Amino acid sequence: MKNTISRLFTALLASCALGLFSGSIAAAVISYNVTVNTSDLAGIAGQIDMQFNPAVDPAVAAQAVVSSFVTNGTLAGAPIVDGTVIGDLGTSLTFSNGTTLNAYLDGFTFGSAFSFLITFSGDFLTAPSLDATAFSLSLYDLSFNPLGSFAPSSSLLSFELVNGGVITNDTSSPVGTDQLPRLAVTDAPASVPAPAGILLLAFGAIAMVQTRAKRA
Amino acid sequence: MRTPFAFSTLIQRAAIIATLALTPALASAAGNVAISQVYGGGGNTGATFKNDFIELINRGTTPVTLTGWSVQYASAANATWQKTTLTGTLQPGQYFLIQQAVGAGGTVNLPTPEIVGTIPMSGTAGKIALVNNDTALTCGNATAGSCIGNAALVDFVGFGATASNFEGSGATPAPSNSTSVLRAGNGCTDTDNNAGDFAAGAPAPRNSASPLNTCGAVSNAPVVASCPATLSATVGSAVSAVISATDADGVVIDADITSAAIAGISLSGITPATTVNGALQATLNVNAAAGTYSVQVLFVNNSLPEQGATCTIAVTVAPAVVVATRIRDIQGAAHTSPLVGQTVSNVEGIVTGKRSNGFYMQDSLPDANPATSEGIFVFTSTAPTVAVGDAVRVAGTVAEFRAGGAASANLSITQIGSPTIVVVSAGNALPAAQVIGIGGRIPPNVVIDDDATGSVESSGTFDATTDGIDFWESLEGMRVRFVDAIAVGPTSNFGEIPIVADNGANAGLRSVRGGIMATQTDGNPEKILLDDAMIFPTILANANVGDRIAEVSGIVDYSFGTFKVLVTAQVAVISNGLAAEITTAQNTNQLAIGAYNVENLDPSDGAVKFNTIAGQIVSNMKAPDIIGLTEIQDNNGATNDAIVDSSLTLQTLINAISAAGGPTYSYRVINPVDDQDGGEPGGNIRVGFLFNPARVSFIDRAGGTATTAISAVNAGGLAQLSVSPGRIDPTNVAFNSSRKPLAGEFMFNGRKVIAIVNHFNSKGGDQPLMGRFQPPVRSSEVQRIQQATIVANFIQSLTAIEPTVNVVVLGDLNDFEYSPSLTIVKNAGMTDLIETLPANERYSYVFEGNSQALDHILVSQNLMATAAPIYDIVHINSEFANQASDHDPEVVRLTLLPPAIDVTGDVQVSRLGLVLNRLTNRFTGTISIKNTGTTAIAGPIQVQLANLSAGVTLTNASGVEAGAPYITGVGPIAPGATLVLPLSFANPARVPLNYDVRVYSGQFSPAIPIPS
Repeated sequence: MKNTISRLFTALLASCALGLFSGSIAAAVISYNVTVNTSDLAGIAGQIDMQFNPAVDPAVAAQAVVSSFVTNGTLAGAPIVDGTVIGDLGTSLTFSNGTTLNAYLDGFTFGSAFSFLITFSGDFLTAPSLDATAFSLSLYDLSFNPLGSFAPSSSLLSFELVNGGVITNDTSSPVGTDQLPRLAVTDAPASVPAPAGILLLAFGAIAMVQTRAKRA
Repeated sequence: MRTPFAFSTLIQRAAIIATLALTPALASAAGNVAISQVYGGGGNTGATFKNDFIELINRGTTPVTLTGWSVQYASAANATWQKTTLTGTLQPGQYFLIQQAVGAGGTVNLPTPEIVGTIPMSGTAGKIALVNNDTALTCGNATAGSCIGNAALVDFVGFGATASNFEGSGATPAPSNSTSVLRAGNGCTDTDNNAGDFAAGAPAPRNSASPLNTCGAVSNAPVVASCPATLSATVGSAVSAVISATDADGVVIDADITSAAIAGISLSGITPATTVNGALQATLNVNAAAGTYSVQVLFVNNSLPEQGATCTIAVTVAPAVVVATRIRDIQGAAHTSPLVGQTVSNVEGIVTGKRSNGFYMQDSLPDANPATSEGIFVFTSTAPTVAVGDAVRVAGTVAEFRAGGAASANLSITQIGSPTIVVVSAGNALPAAQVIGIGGRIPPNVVIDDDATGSVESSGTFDATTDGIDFWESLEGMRVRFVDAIAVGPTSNFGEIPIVADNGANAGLRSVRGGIMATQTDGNPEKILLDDAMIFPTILANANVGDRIAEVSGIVDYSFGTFKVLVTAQVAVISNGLAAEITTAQNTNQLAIGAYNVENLDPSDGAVKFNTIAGQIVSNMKAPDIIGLTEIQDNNGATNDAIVDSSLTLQTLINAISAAGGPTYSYRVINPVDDQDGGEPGGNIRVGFLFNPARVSFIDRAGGTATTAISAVNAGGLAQLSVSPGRIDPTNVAFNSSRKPLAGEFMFNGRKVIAIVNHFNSKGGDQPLMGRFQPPVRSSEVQRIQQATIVANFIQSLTAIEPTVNVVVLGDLNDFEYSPSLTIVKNAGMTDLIETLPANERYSYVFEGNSQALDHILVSQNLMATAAPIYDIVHINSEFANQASDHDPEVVRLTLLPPAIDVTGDVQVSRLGLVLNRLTNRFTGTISIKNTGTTAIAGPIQVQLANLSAGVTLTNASGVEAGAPYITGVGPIAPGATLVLPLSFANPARVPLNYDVRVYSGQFSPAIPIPS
């Protein structure tokens, strides 16, 4: 199942809405809460792979911060890191798209679910480019066979940072015979709205409500 | 008439007579009793009689009392005598036998002797005396003196050469253990000359009981001849017989044939007798012509006047005949008759068919051996007078007739020549025809011959059930019958229809349209030609491939290198409705190239042929953009003059095509040097191009002449011709009396194609499939291989400059796809498109019923890989009795899209971020191409990644253009629409990955597939 949760227009609206709390458009961030249903994988020893790679290198600068990682599974805590990645998944990870491969790979014994907050920021928001940078989440078993994905890239989820916004691609397979959604991605509330952006916030909020209403 | 004696013979005879006449006869008072026989070998080794003996005779006319007389014996040299006393009276002419010592040998007792003595006599030499008292002599050698003249002596015989005493000139001839010495005249002759009066002979003891022999009664015994009454001979086989004659009182001295002289009958070895009663011997020799002759031989003696005796010998000389010869005996289980050269007679048969110079006859009483034919041709040299149905007896000479002469590769036909024909009866039913196929004899369907090592007449095994050439030979001259025959070739100009029996039930690979395929290993021996030679002037009905004949009968014959059935009546052809094929027309981006051998086309052929071919080109071939023509003749065809120009021929064809609704073609051709390119004398056949200028353009490069050799030129990495059109190596000996390949450059859809049209050396001169030499020698192949090598080298000179050059080789290559010559061209990187067809569709020519490929189109590697060639042989001629040419044309459609156009400025490119697939170790993503213009962008779409980072590979590239990989997407892209293509990179060193994007509409030229 491929479910495009948010397209460019929606992302732009979200950017506007979130920007109300960031103080300015240039300083805006885009955050999402991501929950992954791994109930069909519970107990399986595998790996979590997070990448933040540009389409071409060099690319318009962008950062992604993964925080608030919560799970009833078990992280191995011995990650393999490529490129510009700082921190650890247990606390906070900061990715930059400064090299071709920016990746964090850690062993993981799956529980029923895990979740995290991801926040995107950087020049890509103010210098729109048609060449994207993608944050991807992939699950593997110990032999690197992809788990829970339909995508050729093997990722369950990607956020394409393109043309000044974010496009979310859900390429995950459903869970179990009940065909339960594997992913739940929701916009995360911005913590510090910017006064200069009130009007934009209002516009974006109205638009988002309309969009979500249509989706429902 | 008797031949006179030679003068020397007369002299000899006179001398003998004079000698005897001068010898005085010995006659004393008691001298009428004489020793008539002496035998000393009795009881010795090799003797028949157990005893020696002495025989007396009373030669006189009055009785003589022997009582008191004695016979005495002394050895050859001594004068010591042993004696046997005699008693009794001897009557005139009566014999008197005196038995002497017995020996260990011998098996027969003497007749009852009158007196028994015990004297052991020598078998070879000694002395015998008949004495009128009983006193032993004391004479007889040089010491004791001669006994001759002794008063008591009645007769005396010295026998053997060493006898010391004898009467007359010498002793008798030497006797032996198996011979005695006998006085001539059965004892009567007594000239007192032991040497002349006695002869050695088989012992013949006579006693008093023997028939009287009155000596005085015989005054002039006749010459007695001894000859066989008859003497038989056969022509060619000499015979002889010994003849002889004796004369009891004379010497036979000559013999001669007195009947009419006969060539081949003569006397030889005449050996005259040398003694009285001796035998003259001679040999009668016979080696004469057939006939019966009465030969008379006259023997003569030495008497004056001479006496003679004649014997008559009935000489019969029979012809050298093979008695009771059957046709099958003449045919034998072989390709030639075992009786060739021999005279045969009384060969019986029923006349089954007539020709202008002979007739076929067949035995009505066949045997069960299928290997020996029951039919034969009787060669009369003029129109035969017999009628079909006549029962005849034929005598003549068995011969093998080989059309084309002794060196020909044809099989020979067994026939009876110089025949003497006796018609026994008329109106007889014909012998039953042998069914060929189901219910009869089924011909081999693959093997023509698998065991000969040269001539089948002198090597290999005659396999009438497994080898096709032997199978049909075993039916030579016989009536055969086919049921539900199907034509595998059309009726030819020679009035022949190739067929197989039973609707092809036993036939090998059949063509898709009803013919039969000749392959590398299958010459189709199950096929045979029906021929109208025996019903001429009736011409065989027209048949096309697949037509049926419910039933047909005829006589098996052989001519022009193959077996045929001479039908005895017109055949009823049932049409199968074979239709001429129509190929698919090319589309806008397909370049259609055709090849057509138009069979000696020239203006004198008339409008019908031109219009027919034009209609075929337009309607059946769908007007190919380029046509490679072969067998274009000059403007006056077979008129053998200096004209070589073919402009009228070509323009006439072009006009006809246009009139038929086709395009107005242009042409390119190079006139040959007069009479240098083979083909029909005077015709100056050549190859050439027609092209449709509305679709293709010809690149002319000046300088091409009949003798200018073309070459490949490197033009900035692209191959081009030094001249166009131009001939390939035209002065090479490989092209002596053969067509020179013509090359030309064409442009279509912005792409260049170099075409080479060919007409290789013909197959004329090859030995026939059903010829006597197996496997057949393909002598014509030598020149074709040379030509193919030259063309292949030229192709390689082009590809060496530009590996992706588009080359098309086409035309009548006069050989099969599996032949050495085609293999050579294929090895130059060319694909023979006929091999893309199913095996039962690979033919453009039907030769004596064999469907086979002589015409080919081959394409270079780039065309094969990128132009999706669609090849078709358009069957419009070879299978039809009515044909414009003997070849089918062929067409290939090559998809050649226009070169790609750069549309980068009309699109918006967006590239998504890459994700490393940990399993495949590939960076994957997508690229989106959005048409930002107002018009659709035509496909295919080429998305090229230029300046891709070193160390990075686009692993899902469709190809590489100008050093940069690209991905091909399907177009078109409508205005505002987006084409999304996947990307996959290998970046093992994780180098910064970057590239520029170029977008093209159309197909790259050339399109090179990336190596796998």
